[in-house]
Amino acid sequence: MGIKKFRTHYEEFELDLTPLLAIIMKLVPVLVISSSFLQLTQIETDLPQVVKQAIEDQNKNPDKLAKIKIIVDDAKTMNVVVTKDDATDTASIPAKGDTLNLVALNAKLVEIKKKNPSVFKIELAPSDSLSYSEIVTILDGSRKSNTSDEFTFVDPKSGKEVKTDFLFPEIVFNNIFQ
Amino acid sequence: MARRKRYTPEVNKKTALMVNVTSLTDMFTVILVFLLQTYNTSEVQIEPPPDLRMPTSQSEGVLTQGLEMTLSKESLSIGKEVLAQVNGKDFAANDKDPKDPNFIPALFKSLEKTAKETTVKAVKDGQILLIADRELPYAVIKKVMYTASMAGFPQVKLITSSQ
Repeated sequence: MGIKKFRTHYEEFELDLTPLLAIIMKLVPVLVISSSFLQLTQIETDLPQVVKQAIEDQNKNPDKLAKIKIIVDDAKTMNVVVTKDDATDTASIPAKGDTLNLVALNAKLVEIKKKNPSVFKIELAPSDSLSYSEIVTILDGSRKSNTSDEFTFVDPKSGKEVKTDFLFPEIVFNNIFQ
Repeated sequence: MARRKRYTPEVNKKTALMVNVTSLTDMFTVILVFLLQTYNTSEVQIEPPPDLRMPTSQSEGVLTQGLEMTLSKESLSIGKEVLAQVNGKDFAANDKDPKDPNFIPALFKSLEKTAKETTVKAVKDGQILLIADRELPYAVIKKVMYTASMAGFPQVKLITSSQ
């Protein structure tokens, strides 16, 4: 009678990681070369098709919808002017210390958007002294709501109600030729 | 007096030398994940000058093709060609048109030439990718936009860094 040798599950086994390491060593230089450590974005972007259609519709019928204009003066006070059917409503948002009050601007724009859900375009007239980074923050604040609100508007093509989180994605600098 | 024998550890010379690569593999896996996250899939590659600080934006727009224009606190340039000098707050007086201070003649000429010679559709359509310093006042950017639109480049896309 032979003596049985039992193998215990405590025996260690070595996993050969060398091929995996070889692959990683080849991948790393490729990825290092093609990586961009500074993520760049651009501000005019492609919009959802329905929103694009609504903007085109607004451009075709400029008098039908409200006109919204943000005028920023040297003291960084933002005046939001809404013109509809010959009536003009102006709201003034004073600066918060030395900086623009973007929270108040966003809240005001949400309020305007709720009243005018089909409007997607606004005009911006910053003062000459306003810095480029401040202009970009205004563009960001005008594009989407800080509180992730959704707005319902009628798609001009299908006639159905559509929800969007965009406030005013199309911004036109209207004082370039002044 | 007997000399004391130096201690030498016992080494089995018959066994093969095994390098433990587990920790090295761990490290490379972490690096690989990081590099995969930063991997750039955009068709447009922009390298801003080292002295230029772009504004940050919440925009998630992917870069599209267009004519790259750099506006730093010192100069306005397209590619390596410097078109006008900037003194931080405005263009140099000799770079502006004396009759129209918003007009930059050198920029206009360069854009006109580019529009005629280019084969890139986006550039023909009048798309500009503006890489500008975040501290520049709107007065400087306005002059670039004004001249660009006069030269048939009405679509100015503002390049920003992601937040």
